[in-house]
Amino acid sequence: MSEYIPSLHLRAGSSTTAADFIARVDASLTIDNLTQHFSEALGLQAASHGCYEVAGQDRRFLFGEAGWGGPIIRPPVLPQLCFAITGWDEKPYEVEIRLFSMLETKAERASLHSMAVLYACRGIALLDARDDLNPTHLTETELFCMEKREAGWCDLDIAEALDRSVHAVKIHVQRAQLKQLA
Amino acid sequence: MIHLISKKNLAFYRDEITDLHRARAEVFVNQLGWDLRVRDGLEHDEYDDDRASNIVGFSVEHRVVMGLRFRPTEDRSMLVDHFSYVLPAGIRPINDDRTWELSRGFCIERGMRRHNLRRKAACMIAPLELAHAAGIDRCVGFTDVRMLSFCYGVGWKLTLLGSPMDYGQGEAVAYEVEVSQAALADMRQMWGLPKPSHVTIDKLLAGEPDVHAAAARLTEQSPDLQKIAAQPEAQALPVPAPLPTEEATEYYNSFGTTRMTARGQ
Repeated sequence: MSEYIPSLHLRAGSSTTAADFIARVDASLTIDNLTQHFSEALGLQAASHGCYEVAGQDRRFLFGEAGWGGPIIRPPVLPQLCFAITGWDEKPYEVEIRLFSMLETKAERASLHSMAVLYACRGIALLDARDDLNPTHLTETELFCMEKREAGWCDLDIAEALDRSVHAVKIHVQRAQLKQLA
Repeated sequence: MIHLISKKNLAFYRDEITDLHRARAEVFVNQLGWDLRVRDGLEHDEYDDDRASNIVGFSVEHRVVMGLRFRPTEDRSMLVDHFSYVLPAGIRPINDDRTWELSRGFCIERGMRRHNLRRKAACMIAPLELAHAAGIDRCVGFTDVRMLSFCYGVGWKLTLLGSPMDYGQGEAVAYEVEVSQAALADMRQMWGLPKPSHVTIDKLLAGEPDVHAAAARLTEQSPDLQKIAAQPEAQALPVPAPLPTEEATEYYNSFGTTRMTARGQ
């Protein structure tokens, strides 16, 4: 965990907490890796965070980290931020962040909001592609994606054949390419 | 179809440009509540000049359903003129001669079928294609944070410039999009887009009443363009009715770049 620095204080450089997190989003190839990156970006200010799928009045936990503040939804007394996010699959999601103290500025909230949007987007794609984790060998799905790309298919067509998202296909290809390089 | 409208072919698009500015007034002022100048129901600003071009998507009824404006930044830009306080010190100057600014991007085409997704992607990629051809290596802009999921989802290689901020009607952030052969190839690979992913009408042949007839001719000549042609929305898959929301939220909720089928979870 790195110490949280309000993003406004980073204005002197081209890099901010949000910018750094978003720049690294595409390099996250597992949910664990992504949630760790998000925790690091939130720093000491957040007790926990979670992404939920929303259906009417109900919501279902998808991924997140309890942190050292306890289980995701506890302690309820901590101030929380909840960002309603529409994913690229046009479904409603929420990213909830439990804070140890309230934010001091609107800019800090905006910074967390932008990170939460990308956190949810990447996480949903990783969930869609998580059943094919094999650290060394190309999985059947990864082989399929690579073969179809070689044959000239676009990712939209591959996604349709797999019944997965275009973004999940990109993740399969990323993983496959990394394994091929190793 | 997705069209490029610039000063070179503006004369063919008088009615369509009026429709574009009407759509902008509806989206940005009526739905999003932005404090913009509207006259006679049309939204214009100081950047709608000879140097500005627009990528515009039309429905089968030839109505404007999506748009994205782009313009060189050396003389002026929204980012420098209005939002310079969000930009960090020491970054590459916005007003150099290898930068275009994207603005007034919107989409009111509903639907999640593959052609809807491709058309949205085409509208987002076309300015980058044109920029690359013109020797530009990045595009910049200022977007509502809620649009980041769409920008990211469509495959833009984004870098945030400075910190996100509250702008009154939401939270927004300045961004830079990579313009390169590799970035374009990645996006074409994602969506299976024709190259280029738009049409440019610079003449009407005898018997062609308008630009839409000319676009139909080009599509006959290059069938790949059919991928980004409008299709009747009556064939659209049913979309669940959204929960009551504020209009701005409703607008942002209408975006998406996903597969057509259910997730199956």
